[in-house]
Amino acid sequence: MVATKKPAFWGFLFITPWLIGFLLFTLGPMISSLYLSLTKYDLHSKRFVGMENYRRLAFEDPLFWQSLRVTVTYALFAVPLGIAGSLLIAVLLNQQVRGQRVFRTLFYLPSLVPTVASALVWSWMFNKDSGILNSALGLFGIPPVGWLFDQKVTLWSFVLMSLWGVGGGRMVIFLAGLQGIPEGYAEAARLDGAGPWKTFRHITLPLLSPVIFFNLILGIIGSFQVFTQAYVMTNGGPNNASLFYALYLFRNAFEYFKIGKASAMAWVLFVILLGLTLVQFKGAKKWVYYEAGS
Amino acid sequence: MQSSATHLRWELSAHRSFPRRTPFSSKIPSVRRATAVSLLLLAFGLTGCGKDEFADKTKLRYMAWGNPEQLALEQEMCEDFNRQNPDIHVSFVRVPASAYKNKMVVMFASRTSADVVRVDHYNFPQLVKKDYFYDMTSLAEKDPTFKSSDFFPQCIEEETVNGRMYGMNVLFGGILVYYNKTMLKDAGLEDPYELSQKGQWTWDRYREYAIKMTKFGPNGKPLKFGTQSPGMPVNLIPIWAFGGDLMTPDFKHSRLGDPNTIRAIQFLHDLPWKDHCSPNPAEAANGAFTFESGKLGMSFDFMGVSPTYRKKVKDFEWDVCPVPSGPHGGVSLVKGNQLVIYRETEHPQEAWRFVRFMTSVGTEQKLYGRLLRCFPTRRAVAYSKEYLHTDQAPHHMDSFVSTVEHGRPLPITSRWDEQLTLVTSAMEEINHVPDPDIPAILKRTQSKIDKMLGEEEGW
Amino acid sequence: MNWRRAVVYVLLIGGSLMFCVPFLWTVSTALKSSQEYAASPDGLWPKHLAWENFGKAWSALPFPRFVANTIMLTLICTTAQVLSGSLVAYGFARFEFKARNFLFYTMLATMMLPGQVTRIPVFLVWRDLHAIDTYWPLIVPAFFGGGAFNIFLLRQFFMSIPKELDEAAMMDGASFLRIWWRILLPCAAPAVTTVALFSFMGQWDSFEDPLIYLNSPEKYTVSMGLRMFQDSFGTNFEQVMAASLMHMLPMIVIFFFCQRYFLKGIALSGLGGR
Repeated sequence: MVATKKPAFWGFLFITPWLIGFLLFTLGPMISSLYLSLTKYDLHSKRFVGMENYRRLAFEDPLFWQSLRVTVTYALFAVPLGIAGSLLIAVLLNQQVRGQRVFRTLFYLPSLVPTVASALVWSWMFNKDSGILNSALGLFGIPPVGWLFDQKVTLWSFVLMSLWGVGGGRMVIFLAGLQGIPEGYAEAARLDGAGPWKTFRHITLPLLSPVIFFNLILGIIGSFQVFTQAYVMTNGGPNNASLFYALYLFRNAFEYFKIGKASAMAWVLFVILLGLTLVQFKGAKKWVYYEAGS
Repeated sequence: MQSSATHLRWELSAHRSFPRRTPFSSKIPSVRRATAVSLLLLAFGLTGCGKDEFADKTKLRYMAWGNPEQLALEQEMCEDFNRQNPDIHVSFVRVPASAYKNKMVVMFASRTSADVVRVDHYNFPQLVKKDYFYDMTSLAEKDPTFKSSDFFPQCIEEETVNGRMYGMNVLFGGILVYYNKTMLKDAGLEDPYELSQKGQWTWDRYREYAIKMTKFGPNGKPLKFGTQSPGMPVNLIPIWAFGGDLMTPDFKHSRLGDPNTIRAIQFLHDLPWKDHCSPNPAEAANGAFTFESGKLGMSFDFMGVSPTYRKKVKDFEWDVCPVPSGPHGGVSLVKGNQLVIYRETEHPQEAWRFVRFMTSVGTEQKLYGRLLRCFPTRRAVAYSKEYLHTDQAPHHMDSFVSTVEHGRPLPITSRWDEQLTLVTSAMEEINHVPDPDIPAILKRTQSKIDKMLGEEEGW
Repeated sequence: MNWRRAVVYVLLIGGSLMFCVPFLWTVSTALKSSQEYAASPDGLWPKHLAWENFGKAWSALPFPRFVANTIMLTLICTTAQVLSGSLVAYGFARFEFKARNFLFYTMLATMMLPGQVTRIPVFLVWRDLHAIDTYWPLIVPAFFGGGAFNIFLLRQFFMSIPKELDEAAMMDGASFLRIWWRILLPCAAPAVTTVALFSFMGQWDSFEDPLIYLNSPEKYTVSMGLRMFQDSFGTNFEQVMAASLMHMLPMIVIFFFCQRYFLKGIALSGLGGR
C-alpha cells in the first residue's frame, strides 16, 4: 500500500454510501418503529400509549396468535422439508449421472418463476373441481381435496407449493458443497465397511452442516416473510387458516393503517427472529462441524 | 497521465492471460457502456414526459374503481365532460378494486389524492370523520340548480353527516334476485316475479325453488346449483326478514346473537350443507358457478350487474324479481357510492361542476336509463319512460323501483370496517364447515363486537 | 451396484418431470379456448391451440406499459446498485480502516433483518416527502449500495482479484477511484453481470414494495399488473395462465442465456440469490 494516499480515509469514504443507507433505511427506521410501536397512530392522529399495543397483541388479539401459529407451523414443516428436499436432489445429482446439467436446470427452473405468477398457477392447480392435483388424485380413486378452501388443508397446500422451489439456489449450494468433499473421505469410510447411508450420515452430513445450519436460519426468517403467495392465493383465508404473520402485519400497517399496532408486531417479529437465531447459534455448536482451520 | 493510461491498458491485457479468468474479459468495456446507456435512457425517461397538452386548462383528477365495463363508461363520461367544458380537463385514474380502499386512504393521508374521488359508502362515514372531504353544503347552497328534492331521500341520507353534505350519490341501488328463466321452466316452476306480485314469494319458496333447480351429474358431481347463498352484507336481507338485525337502532350494540338472526344464518347455512342447493365455498371457488355461465338458478346481486349479464348471457332467458319475504316482511338493502371532493383540492369550483355533471339528468339518463346501470339517484329519471320501458332483459323494471322505494340503508357507521372484520371471520367459521355451532359462534362474536364498540376506535 | 444407479435415474427423471408439471399445465391451460376450457378444464392438452389468449391478455390491460415501467426501474436500480455496491465493496475489500470488520459484519447482519421491521417508518418518511405514487421509494435505496447481498457478492469477487493489479496501477499514480473504475470494475464483469441479473430478477418479481408505494395503474410494474389482471379478469383462467406465462418467460429465457453467471453468483456468495 502506498501510504501517502491515506487509504483509511478513502476506504471509509467508499463505504459511506452503504453507511448512509444503513442509517437512513435500517437503523433510523428501526428506532423510529420502536417509538411508533408505543403510539396509537392511524396516519391521521398520533398519541403516545406506552405498552398498550403490546398488551393488546398479547391478550386481546386472537388473530395475532393465529398468525404466529400459522407461520410457526409452516416454518416447522416447510423449512426442514425444503432443506431435506434440496439435499436429496443435490445428492442424486452428485451421483455422476449423465445429463447432470439438464437435470440441474430442470430442478432449478421453478425457483425462477416470479412469485405472483407461481401463486396464480398454483391456485389454479389447487382448484377443487378442475385442478390437476385433484385430477391426479382421482386416477387413484382418491376423492377431491379442498386444498385452498378447506381450512384444515390450506396451510399444507402452501407447504407443498413451497417445495416446488427446492431445486433453487440452496440446492446448487449443497451440490457445490458435496462436490467439494474430497473423494478420499468417502473412500476411507467405505474401506472401514460403512454403507452408503452410514457414509452419508457420518461423513457427508457433518461436512455440510454449516451450510445446512445457515439455510435453516435463512429459511425460518423466510417463513416469517411469506406474504405475496398468501396475499394473492387466499388472502389469509379460509377462516384465517393461512393468515401468515407478514400478511397480518401488512394488513394492520397498510390496510387498516393501525401503524402503532403494526410497528409493535414488527418489533415482536424482530425479537423472535433474533432470539431464534441466537438459539440456533448456541445449538449449532453441538452439531455443526467446522473443518479445522476454515 | 498518458503513460499511466498505456500502462493500465497493458496491465489489463496482461490480466487477460490469468489462468483463472474466463472469457468475460473480452467484454470489459461493456460494463461501462451499459452504464452509460442506462443513464442516457434514464435521462430520456425523466425528460421525455414533460410535454403538457392541457397547459391552458384547469386539470382535475378523478379516481374510481370498477369492472372493465363500468370503467369504460366512466371514461366516456369524463370525455363528454371535457368536450362540454373546454376550460377543464379531467383525467381518469383507475385503481383495481382489491386495492382501492388502501390506495385511497394512503392518498388522502399523504395528501396526493385526486380532486374528485368515488368512495364506496362502506368507507364514507369513516373518512368523513377524518376530515378528508370538502364540505359541499356551501357549494350546493350557492348553486341555484341544485335541489335536494330531486333525489331519492335515501341518497341524501347517505351523503349527509350531521346536517352537512360531503358527497353526492352515484351508482345507487339495491339487491334484487336475478333468476335463470330457462332453468326455471326446466324445473316446471312458476315465475317468482308472478309469485311476488301475489305476495307468495317467501324464503321457504325460495329454498324450495333452489332445491328443485339444482342438478347433479351421474357421478354425483353438481352441474347446476339453484342458488348461491348470500354473504355479508346481502345476508342482512334474510336476517331482517326473519326479524333479526346486525345492530341495535342506536348503533351501539350488536344483535348478531339475537335468536332471529341466528335462525336466518342457520337457514342460509342449510342451503349448501343440508339441502345442497347452493355451492359451498370450495365448490364456488374460482367462479365455478356463476349466474352468467348458466350454472346458477338464482343469484342475489346489486342492480348494477344488469349490463354485465345482458352482455354475457347468451344462451338462456333471465329476469329479475324482488327479494323474498319472511315472517317480518321482505325489504331489500340499498347502498350507493359517493362522489367526494378532496378537501385540499385547488379547484373546488371546477370539481363541483364535474360532480354535478356526473349526477346530472343527462348523465343519469345515459347511465341508468339507456345502459341500465344501477339505479338513478333522481326520482325524475327513475320514473321516466326511458327507464321503465325496455326491450331487453331485465324486463321487470318495476322491481327496481319498488326495491329502492322500500329499500333500507345499511347500518354503516365509522366502525363498519372493524365490525365487518369480526362478522366476516364468524361467517368464515360458519360457512366452511358442515356442522358449526352457529348460536355459540354468533353469541361470541356479538360480545366481541359489543366490546369493540364500547372502546375507542381503531385499536 | 447397478440397481442403485437405476434408482437414482428413476428418482431424477420422475422428480424433474414432477417439477415440470406446473409449467406444462400452465402452457396447456393458456392454450385452451374458453369453450374448450369450460367443457374439459382438466383435459391434458387442447385440441385447438388458442394462441389468441396471449393477445387478449396482453391487450386487456396496458401490459406494454407495465413492462416498460419494470424495465425502466430495473435499468436505473441495476445501474445504481452496481455502481454504489461495487464502490462499497471496493472499500470493504481493499482498505484497512477503523471498525471495518465491525461495519462489515453489521452489513452482513442486515441480510438477516426482515423487511417488515423497517418498512413502516420508511413508508411514513416517503409519505412526508410526498413521494407516494412515485418511483423514488423504489429507486433511491439502490443508490446506497443496493442491499447487503450485492455488496457481499462484489466484495467476494474483488477479494479474488490479485492485489498486485491495483498496486501496479498505484505505482503509476492512479487514484483509488480510477483503480475502481478502470481495473476492478472491468475485471469484475462476471460479478457485475451476476449482480445485474439478480437485481433484474428482484425487480421483475418484486411485489410488496410496488404494492405499497404505487397507486396509479399507469405506474404499475409487471407483478402488480398481473395481480390487477387476476383482479379484473380472474374468471378467464386461460388468459390468467397466458399472462402468468408471459410473466415467467423472460426469467427462464434469461436463465438459459446466463446460467453460468447465476451459478457463479451462488457459488461466490454461498447464498441462493436475492
